[in-house]
Amino acid sequence: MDADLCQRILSDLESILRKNPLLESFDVISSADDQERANRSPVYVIENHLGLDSWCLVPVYVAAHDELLRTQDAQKLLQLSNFVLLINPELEAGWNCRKKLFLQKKCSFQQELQLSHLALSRKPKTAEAFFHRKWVLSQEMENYTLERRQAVLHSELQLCETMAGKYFSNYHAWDYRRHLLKEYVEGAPLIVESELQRSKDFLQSHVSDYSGMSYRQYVLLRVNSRPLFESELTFVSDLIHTFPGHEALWSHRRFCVLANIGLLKWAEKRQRLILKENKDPKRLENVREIEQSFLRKTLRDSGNWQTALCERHVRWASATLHIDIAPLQANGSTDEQERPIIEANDSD
Amino acid sequence: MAYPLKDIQIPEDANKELLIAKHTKYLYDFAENKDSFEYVMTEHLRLSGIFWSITALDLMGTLRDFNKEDIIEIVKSCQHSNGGLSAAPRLDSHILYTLSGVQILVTFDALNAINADAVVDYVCSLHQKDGSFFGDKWGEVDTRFSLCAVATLALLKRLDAIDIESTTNYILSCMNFDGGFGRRPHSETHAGQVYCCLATLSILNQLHHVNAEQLGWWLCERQLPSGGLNGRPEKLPDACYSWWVLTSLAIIGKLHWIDKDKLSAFILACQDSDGGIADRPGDEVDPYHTNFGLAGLSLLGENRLKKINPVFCLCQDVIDRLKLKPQILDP
Repeated sequence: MDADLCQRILSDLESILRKNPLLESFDVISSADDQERANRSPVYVIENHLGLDSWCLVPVYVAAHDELLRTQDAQKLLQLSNFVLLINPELEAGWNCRKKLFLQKKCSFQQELQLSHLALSRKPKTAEAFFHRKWVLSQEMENYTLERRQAVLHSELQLCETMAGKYFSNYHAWDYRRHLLKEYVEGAPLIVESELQRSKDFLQSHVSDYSGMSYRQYVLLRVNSRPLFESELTFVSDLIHTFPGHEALWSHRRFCVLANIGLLKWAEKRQRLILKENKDPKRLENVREIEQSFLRKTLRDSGNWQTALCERHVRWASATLHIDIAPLQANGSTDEQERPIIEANDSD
Repeated sequence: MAYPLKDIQIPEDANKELLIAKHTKYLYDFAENKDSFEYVMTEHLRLSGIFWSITALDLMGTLRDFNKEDIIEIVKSCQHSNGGLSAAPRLDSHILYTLSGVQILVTFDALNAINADAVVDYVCSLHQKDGSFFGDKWGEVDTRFSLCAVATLALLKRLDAIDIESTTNYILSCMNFDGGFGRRPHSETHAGQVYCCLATLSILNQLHHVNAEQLGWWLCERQLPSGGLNGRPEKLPDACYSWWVLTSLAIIGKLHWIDKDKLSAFILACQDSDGGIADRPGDEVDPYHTNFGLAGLSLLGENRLKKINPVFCLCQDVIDRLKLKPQILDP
């Protein structure tokens, strides 16, 4: 590809990004036939979505990537990194280059949010792009009024939600969301309340997404109320019965059990499991009864995988709380390494 | 009722034998092929890519024909004035590639190719008051970086350069109620991060802080009926977790808690008949999965492979040569 064409594509992209601050997504499109190719630029916008014709991806990327790592010219660096990072957002050197430009005031907060948003819309689990947002926020937020900070926080939380919806168990999206809550909620207590509701809604419609549940656990521990933990246990019980065979729900149940009897506490800025200090026999007995009756009900109507998950729950309670919650006697065996506690097809 | 178990089925005609000659050829060919778009797209991983390839070859005992001098030159050219290494010469230094570079050099017994004192200074410059490590000067924090820092210093015999107590405390602050570890305090437990945290504690001789029973169960629960391991609940099995999960179990002395035969069959089924290992049977192969698949087989006792060290992910003879003895819990 000749250098002029390549430059024209980079310039087109830059001007489109400037003129369309509200672009929602970016993707590479492989549809253009020869005639279409001749008649229009390979970078275009349709209803707030940015598209790039696939025929130019490789030649422009190869040239832009190479020049990005050689040139010092700020204007060129901006154009080149736009293209390179949309295609390959894992390239840390590209984001580093943007950070330097940002510190030199060659690009704005909004431009950085736009570029990393578009990159994430195509590759929603890219840690480097989330970190870029985290970094630009750390540079800007303290200069903002409370009102403006809240507006940014709202849109960032929304972005996390979008990316979590696009990619199952999106570790970095949920981690970024937790970071937002840790850093920017001060002066906006209602956000925690609304995150409590939003994470519940997400859980209900994504019953195998443990990353979302792990985030919810963080929110629950921040609120830290006994009635809340109790209702969460009921909530997860219902979900396990409605959607059998989901390991994520069972993992979340473990959290609920521990939180419910006060074994998880907010200590040294982390959720810590404190077993020795707080082994109240009455509470343990209470757990044993609740879990036993829950398992009995669960096993009544369950297939092999759900039964296996029940067994694991029994084993976990035994290893973690040293209580036996198995609804059926397992031949009095105490050998915890090998035993199948409940035979696969047993039920009440 | 249908159950939503996320797993794969191993095809009946899947490979059952370890294809050493094929993997060797695949990795040699891969190293030669520098004209592809993929090669350009993966420049930011280059040093780690070389590390995966040479470790895989070393495990198979077929590293000797690899172009050692060229590789040492590449590593050398990746060191920057701040002492850190980058993935490729014209990229920025980062602690991830600093470790990869050092791992490559110790494999070739060629540490004198770089300025080791400068590497130590670089690693120390990234250490934070709370014991965490930045990945580079831009300030991202991750327990992976703690391992990179500590393993780099251990391989250079310079663990004295950092404060062990704060480093340990930071790792412990990332421990979760399931006994596992995440990227940062409160982050979800992830098998890759579990390995990083356990290996860090092992090198620092601090494994007594770990709840091995509880964590052992969580790790075992990663094994699916296909025999493969996943890294988090309800994710698909992936050959690379044959390393991250399995070596974590090895470090806490619970390797026998897993069904070894089934796991071995899963990894073998991920082999391509033309060489290389993929994440799952039938998928595209790459050096990353090839290395970690083989490393997993080595841990499982495959006798045609050299023994791997569970903490450093280097052949045990390299670790013995350096006289390093990272902590491993008794079964």
